[in-house]
Amino acid sequence: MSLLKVENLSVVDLRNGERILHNLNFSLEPNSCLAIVGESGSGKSMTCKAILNLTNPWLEVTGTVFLHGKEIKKNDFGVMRKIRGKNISMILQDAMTAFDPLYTIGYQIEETLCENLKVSKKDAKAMGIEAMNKMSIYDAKDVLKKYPHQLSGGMLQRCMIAIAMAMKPDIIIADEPTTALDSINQRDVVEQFERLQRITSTAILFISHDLGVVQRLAQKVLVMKGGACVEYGNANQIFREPKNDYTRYLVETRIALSQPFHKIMNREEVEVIDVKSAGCI
Amino acid sequence: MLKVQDVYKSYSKSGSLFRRDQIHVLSGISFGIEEGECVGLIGESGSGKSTLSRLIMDLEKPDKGLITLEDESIQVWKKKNQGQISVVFQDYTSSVNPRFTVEQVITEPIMLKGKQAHIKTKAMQLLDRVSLSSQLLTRYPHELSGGQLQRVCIARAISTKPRFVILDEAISSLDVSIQAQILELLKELKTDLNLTYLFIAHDLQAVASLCDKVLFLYKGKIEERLPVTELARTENEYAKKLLSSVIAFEA
Repeated sequence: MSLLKVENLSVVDLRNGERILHNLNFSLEPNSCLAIVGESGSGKSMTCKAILNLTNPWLEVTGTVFLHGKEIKKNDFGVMRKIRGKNISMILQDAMTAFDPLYTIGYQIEETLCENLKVSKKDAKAMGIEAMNKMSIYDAKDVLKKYPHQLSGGMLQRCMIAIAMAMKPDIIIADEPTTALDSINQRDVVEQFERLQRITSTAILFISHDLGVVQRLAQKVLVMKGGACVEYGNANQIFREPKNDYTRYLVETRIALSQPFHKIMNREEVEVIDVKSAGCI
Repeated sequence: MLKVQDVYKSYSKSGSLFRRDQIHVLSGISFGIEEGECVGLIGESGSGKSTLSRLIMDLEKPDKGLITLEDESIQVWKKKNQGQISVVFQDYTSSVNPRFTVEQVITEPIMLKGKQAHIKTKAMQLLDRVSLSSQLLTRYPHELSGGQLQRVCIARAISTKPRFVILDEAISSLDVSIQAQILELLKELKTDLNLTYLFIAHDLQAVASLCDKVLFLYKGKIEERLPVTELARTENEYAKKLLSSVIAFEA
């Protein structure tokens, strides 16, 4: 049985009747990673907002979402609140604006954990530190005392993943978590997600337009264009032999961008080996 | 063409009057860019990349050190060669006036220089240069997509026929597929208009596909400089770390 199953998810803008999402169908298995890829404006973020019913009031969401085989009743606010955070946590793209600048990181972690897990402040702090250690933040106690502006984007992003992990959710939805980071931080965050998959059974819904990252993390891929699904299936298969023209276009542009870099790195490696073997002779 | 010699820049911490509380953003930066070259400047956020670009454009003055263009100080050079240095920023939405139409955005620098004949045809030629249709002339910035708007910004940057263009994270906030297109456009413009680029970025893959030379900026110092083809041979720790952390797509 799938952990999360989405059937015929559609979103319509009631103000002008425009359809933003067209009948999306996909499912997420336990301990796996599904990536949603596409260009900006293709409806990736809208999809996860629609799952959690976080859409603006003028958008009408239709279709059904099953969690553990049970339908989520969208209009029941109590149920929805329990699901958000406890069953499904979300990591946002811009860590800098996702935290409240007026409070310390520690306060915000405690608040989140106290509210959602109903634990005492002391326990919440301990859990926060533990989760941050897992995220390889080793000076967690200092970090807890800091305000968001005192930390780098990568650090904040890791704090956010730490909070999401501390809640021990069934599903983590990560909306472009690596886009705003430089490559060292990006690598760090991707490694944390890999760890997360290894040590917990949490499933990840990963949204990104960076196919390199997606290739490393995801087992399944959903390619979106203009609010509709154009291809859905096994990640390796889609990247190796894309059936759809649009997917092929995405893959090709990615390759075109990486190729000079690959060439430089690989050619040098070859030359280095040549020099070495020449030395042996 | 451009020479940066031993430049220092520090800002005082907000709310402090004491000298010792200063944050040293750049310390002892020296490098040169030859005519027709494209130099990539790589560094993580907060390493001083944007500060350096502001110093080069003479929007701020360095505390110590000298920045010269063609052996003249930047202020003198700018007076003599009006509009020959221009810049494209990362954030395309905040770098255009939302009340201007695309035509006004593109022609503003030309108007400032005082040439006013055939302004509309010029704007159309510029749009054509960056592969946009001339129908966009009457549109407003919010009606364009990110890639289109960044193209408009590039058109604006080349409207005064510059020789030196600073690209400050110009492609970082675009989709990967659009990034590839903009990089192609930049390459084309470079050869056609004989431009010299300073390409500031944090994405090594983009730098590798556009630049001839790479500078690694880390904590206000240039840690490593080398031609792009020698990237794999770097001995520097920071550069190595950065190179090994690139998550490349493999076909």
